[in-house]
Amino acid sequence: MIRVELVKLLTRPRTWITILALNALPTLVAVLLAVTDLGPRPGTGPPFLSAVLTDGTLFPLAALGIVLPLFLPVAVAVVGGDAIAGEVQSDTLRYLLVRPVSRLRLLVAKLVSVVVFVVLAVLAVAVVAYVEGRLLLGDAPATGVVSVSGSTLTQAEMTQRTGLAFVYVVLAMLGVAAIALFFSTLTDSAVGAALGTIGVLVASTVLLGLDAADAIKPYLMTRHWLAFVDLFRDPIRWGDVVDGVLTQLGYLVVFAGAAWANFATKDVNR
Amino acid sequence: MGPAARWLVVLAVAVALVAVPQGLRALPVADTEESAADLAARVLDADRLGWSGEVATQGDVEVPLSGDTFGGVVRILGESSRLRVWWRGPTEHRVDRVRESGETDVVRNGGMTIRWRYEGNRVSFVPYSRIRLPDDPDVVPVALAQRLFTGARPAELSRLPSERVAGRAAAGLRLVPADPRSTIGRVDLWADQETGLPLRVEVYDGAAGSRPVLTTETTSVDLDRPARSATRLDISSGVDFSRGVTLDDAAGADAYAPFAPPDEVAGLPRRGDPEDFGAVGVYGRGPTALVAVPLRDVVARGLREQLRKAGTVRDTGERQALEFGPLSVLLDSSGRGNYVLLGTVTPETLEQAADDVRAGVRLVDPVGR
Repeated sequence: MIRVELVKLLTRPRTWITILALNALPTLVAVLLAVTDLGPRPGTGPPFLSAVLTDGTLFPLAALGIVLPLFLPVAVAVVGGDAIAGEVQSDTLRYLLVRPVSRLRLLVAKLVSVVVFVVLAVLAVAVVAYVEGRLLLGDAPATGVVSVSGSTLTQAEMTQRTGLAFVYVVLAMLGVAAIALFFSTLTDSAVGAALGTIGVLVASTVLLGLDAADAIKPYLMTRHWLAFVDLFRDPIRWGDVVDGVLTQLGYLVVFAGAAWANFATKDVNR
Repeated sequence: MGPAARWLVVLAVAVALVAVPQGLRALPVADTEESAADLAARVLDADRLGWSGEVATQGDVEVPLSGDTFGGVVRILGESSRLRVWWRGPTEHRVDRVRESGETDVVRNGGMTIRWRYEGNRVSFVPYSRIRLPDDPDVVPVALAQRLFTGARPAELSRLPSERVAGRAAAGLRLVPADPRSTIGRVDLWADQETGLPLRVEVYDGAAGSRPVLTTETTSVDLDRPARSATRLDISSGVDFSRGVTLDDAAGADAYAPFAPPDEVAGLPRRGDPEDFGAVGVYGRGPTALVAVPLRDVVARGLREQLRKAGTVRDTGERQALEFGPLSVLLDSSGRGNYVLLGTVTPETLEQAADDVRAGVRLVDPVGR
């Protein structure tokens, strides 16, 4: 079942068009920075972007900072929202369900397929940004990469922490994937499911800026998304990274559970 | 399993995920029999304890001045911060203010202060100065408690119920300043029952509002003394280095301005060791305190413009006075030079203090002071 879903994901043109679109903004930013030599003022803009003019090897991290707050979750919402509702829209869900496969297994396969999309998208952003950074923005300084705390990060440390950052970003999208899958079981409209998920993301972002919402902030999905920056402090600040992973796992368990609760006995006419 | 049972399972899991951490935090804490004075004594002794952890600060004052006015004062009173702290003692600690995309680290190592700012890609080495504007290490609970509870009288102290702070049982202590010149209504503090280390400090102004104007709270704590290496900055050779003479304008004025302010203003005695007295005067006791700083004309001019832009300023031409939260500010250019006075005292007290500074300030040679 999982293999079928993965083949479907990888052979769909829309998967690759979405990944291409995700790379468009970081690419435009890299070109503009290279042409104008004008970076954002230090401390402003996405994380690491102010440093890429002197060290192009940081551009994958800056690219992550660019796509993470909006473009990546929107892409995940669209793919996740299409998981079940898209099958209904194209009249294929009932054919899927006549196979001797439980609905739970179908849901798991759909969720795995969305997570694989996230991995592909994040990897693509990283690789494209690395190439762009090296070609357009220059090499790392001979003195090594400077951590956020001012110490030198060796190439091995940098590689290890960058790897951790990409794993973290993938994990940060688990909650979005689960919510999109849940909405996808609620409605027959893939667009509606995606919009519902985006609505949750917008609400989370708005509440993060509201002092009156202090009590619920630790539970908001977007609260720890940019905590990957903490992996580049010295020593690494694990607190928010761990909290971020636990929050995403919490969303995954609850909303994947809700998707199962709703989908297990849902009437399927199309 | 039926549909209702499935939804019940999901609901139970969701409630458990939210409620368990909250429940652990809300576990009741047994009170101790310790008197308020004894607890205050342990609190004042706690800055020698070693510990590490994270601190969240929240300033709740609407500040009408730009962010870099008076060093960190405006930021501390008007914004929130996350601090990483490695504390080996009052003269050896590291405090990192972390932001989403950067950080500022301040290391105190004996007589030297080292400051790293990621956004500026610069590290600076400056001799430590006792007289200086407030900075991040000053709002770490243990440091703020030192500042506010030093000199507190037993009649001003009372116990509060214990609470759980950063997972530790913390004994509560309240300070209500008896001095009517203070704009601080009360200070509530919770200190670790076992060690006396302050974990949370809440400062309230004299208004009847129930929200503190400044809260600083330890959110995680490790009571083992951190290794000496943890309080050092291992700075890359690829960053810009600079060596400064003074920490900020107040430290510079204290060392080099040719003035000696009086020993008492508005009935408040000068604080500190007379051997260390410079051009800056710090007066008062505990939270009833003010500082008088001489300013060069160019600095005074900039500050005057800033104060005049604030809508609530009282401007007599020679004096500009402004209040925000519990803080009163007065810039006086009527006498010999310019003095700015800043403190948690009433506007009338600050006016009187400005009169006393103007009448009592002496010209001295800063080299032979």
